[in-house]
Amino acid sequence: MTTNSGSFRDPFGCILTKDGEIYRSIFPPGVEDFKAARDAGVYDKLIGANLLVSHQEVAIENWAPEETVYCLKHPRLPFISYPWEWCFSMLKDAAILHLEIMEELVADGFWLRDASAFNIQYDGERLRLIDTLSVGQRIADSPWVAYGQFCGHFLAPLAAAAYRDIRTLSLWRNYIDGYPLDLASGMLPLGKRLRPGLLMHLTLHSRAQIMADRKEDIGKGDRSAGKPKVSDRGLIGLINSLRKTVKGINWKRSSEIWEGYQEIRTYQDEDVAKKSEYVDNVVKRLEPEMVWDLGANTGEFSLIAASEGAFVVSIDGDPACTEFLYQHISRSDSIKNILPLTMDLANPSPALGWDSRERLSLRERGPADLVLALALIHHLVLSAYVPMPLIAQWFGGLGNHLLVEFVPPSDPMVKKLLANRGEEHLPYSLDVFQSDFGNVFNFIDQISLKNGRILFLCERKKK
Amino acid sequence: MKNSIIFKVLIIMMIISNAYPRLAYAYLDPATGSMVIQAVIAVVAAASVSIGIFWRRLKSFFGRIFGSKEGKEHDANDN
Repeated sequence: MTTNSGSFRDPFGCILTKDGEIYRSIFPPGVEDFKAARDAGVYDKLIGANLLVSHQEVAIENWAPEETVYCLKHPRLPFISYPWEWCFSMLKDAAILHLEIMEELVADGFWLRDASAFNIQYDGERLRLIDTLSVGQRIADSPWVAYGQFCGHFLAPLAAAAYRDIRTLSLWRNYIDGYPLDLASGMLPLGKRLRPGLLMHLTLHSRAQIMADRKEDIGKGDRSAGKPKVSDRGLIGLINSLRKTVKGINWKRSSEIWEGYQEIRTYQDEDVAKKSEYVDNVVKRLEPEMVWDLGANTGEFSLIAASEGAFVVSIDGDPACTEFLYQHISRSDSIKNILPLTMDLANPSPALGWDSRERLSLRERGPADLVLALALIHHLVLSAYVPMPLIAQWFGGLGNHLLVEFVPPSDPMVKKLLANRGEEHLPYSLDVFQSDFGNVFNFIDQISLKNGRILFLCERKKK
Repeated sequence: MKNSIIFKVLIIMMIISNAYPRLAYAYLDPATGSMVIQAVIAVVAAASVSIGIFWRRLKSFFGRIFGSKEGKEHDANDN
């Protein structure tokens, strides 16, 4: 049995893994809220509405922590992702999901005790709240305890991304409990800062936070006597206002890469068809449950792998590409088993949080059954200056099988990368590739395309 | 409509708030500020929810009098 390293902050309970199954222990402080929500049918309502991950109460086994009062079993999620990897619309949808849940809960006298982006995950069908213990009984007339967190986790990053720069989403890697509101507010152009919703929930909110910390209050202790109050109707109004504000934040992409990719691609339709067919055959042959498509672009090959039933984590460094794929999947009725994530593969997601163990690195969330690295390694060697042997080792730590495309030095795209570099670059040739990858993998199949590119199917060598 | 009402009320707060200096960071308790601003927003938001409810009832009332389709629909929703 192992305790999930991301759930230690909650005194109400924790997540456990035992024999590959996911359990939740509920501790004494969480019992009252759990029983109240269960008996009022709140969990059933949220689960039925596809808003909350399902659970079943199970007997407490001897491996559970001593203080366990109830034990729940949850379905296993295919992949845990973090907000610094999400595209704009995924973060926005996660925000709206929180508000939908709040609306359902407030009607029944409950609310969300927290509003953390980490509590939302994609389960292969849709986004769902995964923290059952976030549901708590509303404290009568109290302001929403998670309002500040909601603004820091959702409103601030969405506004900064939409109105300053989409790349600010990577600030999540530093601010793992949400963006400081004054930081986000300061990033916005004045006109956006004064938009009614953002003015209230971000600009004035950040000022109120600063004003609240008065030197003269230090040592006075409990200030509960003068605590502000929020009525039920006020809370509903607040949720409505937040929803309107979130829905009003739209990112207008400036990149034309989605439409342009087909045009900049230098190879012929015949080669594309052959490559697609080969990817399809490899997925059929290996029947992987989990595929990581690294450098996925707009997910052309992720979609092929997903259509064969694999769950695909589709990773690309361009937020416009992941946004495109996310919207494609959101609209699709058939293919839902793809999770697009934004990540610079030369600087993949590190382990973060307390003791660097709270949030896992990309590698720690593996291994995948199959890794796709199509038209990727020339970027890593020639643009990111990562030597070929290190790339081979890295892939070896990510998956059992690897489908990798070697783009020859004569390829127009490689020539473009080298245009201003002359001879000053790391070794890059087919011989170097085969030698370095051969140290880590066995080559089990390959196919050559007309344009000179070669696809290699590799299996990691047994240690 | 709702947000613009709250906007007008709170623009004054912003002007006032500019006078406050930023204080010590280490003991900052942002939760208190979140509670305070939220309570202010909620008062106005509650009023607009009430106005919304009143408005729907008013439309429904006149809908019933004049027998319009809209009024009947609202009746059904209210029930």
